[in-house]
Amino acid sequence: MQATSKIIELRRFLAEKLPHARFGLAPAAPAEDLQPTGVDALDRTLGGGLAKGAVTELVGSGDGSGSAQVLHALLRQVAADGRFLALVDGADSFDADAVEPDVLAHLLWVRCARADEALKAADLLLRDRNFPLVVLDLKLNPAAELRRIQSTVWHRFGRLLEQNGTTVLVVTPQPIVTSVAARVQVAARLGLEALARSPGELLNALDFTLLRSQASADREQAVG
Amino acid sequence: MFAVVHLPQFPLQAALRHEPELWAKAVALVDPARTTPIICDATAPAREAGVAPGLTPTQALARCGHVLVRHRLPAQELAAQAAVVQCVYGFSPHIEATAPGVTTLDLRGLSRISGHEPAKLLAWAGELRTALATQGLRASIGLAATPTVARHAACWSDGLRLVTDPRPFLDGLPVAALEPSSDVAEILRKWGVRTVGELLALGQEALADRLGLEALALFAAAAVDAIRPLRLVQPAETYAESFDFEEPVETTEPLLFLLRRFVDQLAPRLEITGLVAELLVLRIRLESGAQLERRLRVPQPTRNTDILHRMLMTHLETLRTDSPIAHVALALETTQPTQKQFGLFEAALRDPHQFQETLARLSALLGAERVGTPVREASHRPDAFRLVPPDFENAPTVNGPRPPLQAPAMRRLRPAVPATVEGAEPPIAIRCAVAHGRLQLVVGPWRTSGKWWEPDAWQREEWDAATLHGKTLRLVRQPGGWSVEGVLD
Repeated sequence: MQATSKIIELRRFLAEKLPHARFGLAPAAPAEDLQPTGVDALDRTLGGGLAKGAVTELVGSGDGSGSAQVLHALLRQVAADGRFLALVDGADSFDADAVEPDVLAHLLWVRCARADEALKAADLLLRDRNFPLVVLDLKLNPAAELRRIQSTVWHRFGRLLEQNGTTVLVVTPQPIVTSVAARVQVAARLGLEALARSPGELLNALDFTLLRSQASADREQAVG
Repeated sequence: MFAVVHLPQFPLQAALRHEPELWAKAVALVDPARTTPIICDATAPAREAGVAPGLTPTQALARCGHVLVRHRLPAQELAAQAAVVQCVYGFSPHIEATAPGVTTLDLRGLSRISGHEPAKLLAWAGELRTALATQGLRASIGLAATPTVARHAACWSDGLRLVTDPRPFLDGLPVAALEPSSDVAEILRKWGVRTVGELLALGQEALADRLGLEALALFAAAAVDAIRPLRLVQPAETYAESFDFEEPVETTEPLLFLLRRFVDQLAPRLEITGLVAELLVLRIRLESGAQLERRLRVPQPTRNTDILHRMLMTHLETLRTDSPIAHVALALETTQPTQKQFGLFEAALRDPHQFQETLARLSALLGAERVGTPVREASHRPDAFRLVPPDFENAPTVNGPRPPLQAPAMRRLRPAVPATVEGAEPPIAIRCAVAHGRLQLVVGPWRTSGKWWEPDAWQREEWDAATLHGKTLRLVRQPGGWSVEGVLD
């Protein structure tokens, strides 16, 4: 009885400190808590889209992974929804030529030269609370820079997201984000022939693998 | 009606403008321009401790061991005078910089104080005094029908003084108010003449016979009806403050503290002139003599002190110097504010003011040219764009998801990676920082050129190439050689 009361007390304490934390079997997230990405296959993999108020990691493995195509599709989707996107471009690699001017008008592009600059910029944007969606693109940043990122950075981002409900997508070359709602891998190995394919076909051909999901992890823990 | 703004102890006020807390301490001001530096002014606590003008710094330290010595700097006095003129210009367009620390305003024609009712005049002067206080300046203001009487009222009052009946007022002033030479002052003292009234009672002709031309000047200074034309000045359109540290600083805290004061003093001056800051120019001189200059463009020009200060703070967080900082200066470049009408029901941003601040901080962190919304240039040159401040309130509506453009997106490499390429048509092998080896498949070329009629003409040849390792590159040949401008991802 004493142990049970301590657990209840602990749960109450956690509920006060972390109001967004969940206990037991988490209910399926309602559709309005998800941000569609504009890529059907990715939305299906994620169960509807990017989780709001959480970090989703998109791991673009290898060359020609297709992560840039996803990013551009996401920007178009956000613009079509009449919303706005902040892109923190860790290696200044965004291709503005591939986007229509009226879609570009929905973008805040933060061009960084290094990963540490990108993290500082992302921190400022997350504290701003004006952007419902922030993309942190670290795909082309050198591995040495990414290794220097401390895990506390992601925890800090997580705490900020709990408070403001911003959706964050981090694009990386390998898994580096320690606390994510979902981690998805895309490894399309797009080659020269992809340049001749219809862009719509290209997006449909991307194959996504769910590496980690907080919802399924919670479910497994509850069953165990 | 005229008003005169008088700043008592002007050199000392100018020296302590950015350190007002020192007025409560013993501080002596030394004029280093003199052959033998002597103390030219001192704060009240220093005077109470026996420090007086005319002493040498050594003598002052002997009388008061804890006295702080500050040096008189012409640059600080000029900056203080510029601040006064800019401030005062917001209250009357007809102003004269009469002397260092003395400014005369012609109040005729000012609709706000038409009728010259005492209550209105005093309220107006009170506001002027408050505006000067935001600049760290303690002013006394005199109001009278002539510039001369107004100046006497300002100099011989502590605060505000409206003189409606000038004759009794002047008669009661000490003779020193007329600023006689030391010889004449001594003669008058021996005669037992203490006040202006006693002096005037002697008669102009009789006094001129005995004292010469100076007597005429004294009577002119005591006139109550002489209105001279003012030598009108316009305020300089420079908004700058600077400070020399007595002891060079090694941390950012004192620097930030000082910059906050600079911003707090410059913003009201902008408000008076109806301008906003579009560029912050921060100049730092190190103890080693090295100079640093940073130009921080404000994405959305503003005079909001919090935003401007946080921009500086964000920038200084990334600043590392080799030696301590000896001098700091901040200058604002200004522009006219743009007016924007927000929609009544729709708001693209939850908090536009917070967003403005975030933009400013991002600009300070990365540079204004690296933050914004991309707008393509009117050119068919690839990757030709510029960043503009976001305007989400007026962003065009995109009618539903649409298919992407024909070309898949690349990942741009900026700057382009120089490459050594074997073969020309087509390239056969490449060696560069992102790829090396034989090229498996090559497609191209696509040749473009532009601005051939201008000095910055461009000409390029693009190839898409796949390496044996599965990497797809965009190769570009320009007159300067080959480079890789993008990779497919």
